[in-house]
Amino acid sequence: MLALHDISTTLHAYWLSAAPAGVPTMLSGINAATAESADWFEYWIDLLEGAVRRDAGPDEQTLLVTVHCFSKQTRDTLRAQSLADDAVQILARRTLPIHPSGDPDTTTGYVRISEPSLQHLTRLHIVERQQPLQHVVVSFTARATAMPT
Amino acid sequence: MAVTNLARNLRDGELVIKGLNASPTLTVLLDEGDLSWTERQRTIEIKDRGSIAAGHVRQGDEESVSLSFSAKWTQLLGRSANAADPLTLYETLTFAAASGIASTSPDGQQKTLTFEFTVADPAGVASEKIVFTKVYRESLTMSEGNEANLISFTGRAFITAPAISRI
Repeated sequence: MLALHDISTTLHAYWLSAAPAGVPTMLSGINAATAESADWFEYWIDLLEGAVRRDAGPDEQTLLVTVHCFSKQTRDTLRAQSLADDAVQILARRTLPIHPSGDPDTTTGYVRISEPSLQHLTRLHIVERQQPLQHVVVSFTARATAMPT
Repeated sequence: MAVTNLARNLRDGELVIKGLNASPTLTVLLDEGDLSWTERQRTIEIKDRGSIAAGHVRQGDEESVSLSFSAKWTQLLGRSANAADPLTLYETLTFAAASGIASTSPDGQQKTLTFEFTVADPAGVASEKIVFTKVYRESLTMSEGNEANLISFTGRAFITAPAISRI
């Protein structure tokens, strides 16, 4: 059985190791200070759904990984798109090993991330906040599969 | 209580493929849970001068059991490529030399296997084992897919019905 903690740690650690320098990331449970930043990411695992399988079959989970790309920049009006491109470059079609907590030498499974889906939500913030805020959402479905035991 | 009223589903099943006696067995772990078999009965209709009401039916020839299943494909070659690899489904179904699997039929006859399908009672009361002997392959289809590539087996068991027992 793959632990949600281990899947989340795998995805978080990989993202933090590869995310563009100088752009903070807000992870679930961590408040990033975005007031000082012109750009930032929010990184969520929104859904985890177990796949139907035999009792003896390996555990499989379908995930929805979402990266929200925000920018308050007014001169570069396509900054959020650039951040979204970075997110796609980092995550799309990647396969990551899952390590149990505190044991980086053991692999209990793999997360395989598929192609991205992008949504441009900037106009909603213009209406709601009356201030410029670019917002692009990049979503990935991923499948975590346990190694056979 | 002899039985439970819990409907069994694919979660409860386990398919094991066996060769002759001491040859390796393979528990199919990545099957899709779509095992299907059909027991056929042939009947000869004898009509009396075209009349069904006055006619009768006789037993026809016995029919073998057809069965099929599919499984996700991880690799086709296991022991053929690396002796330390676990036995793989493709090698077992094709009697690859490296797999060590031995036919359950004598030399000179078509190569056959034994399929054991166990359906566990989720309540642990009335589990059942369904055994297909003398299973031979009619087709083996390898296909690509978005989520997983598949190995699809169709074949026949040279018996009129599987042996079912309570375990």
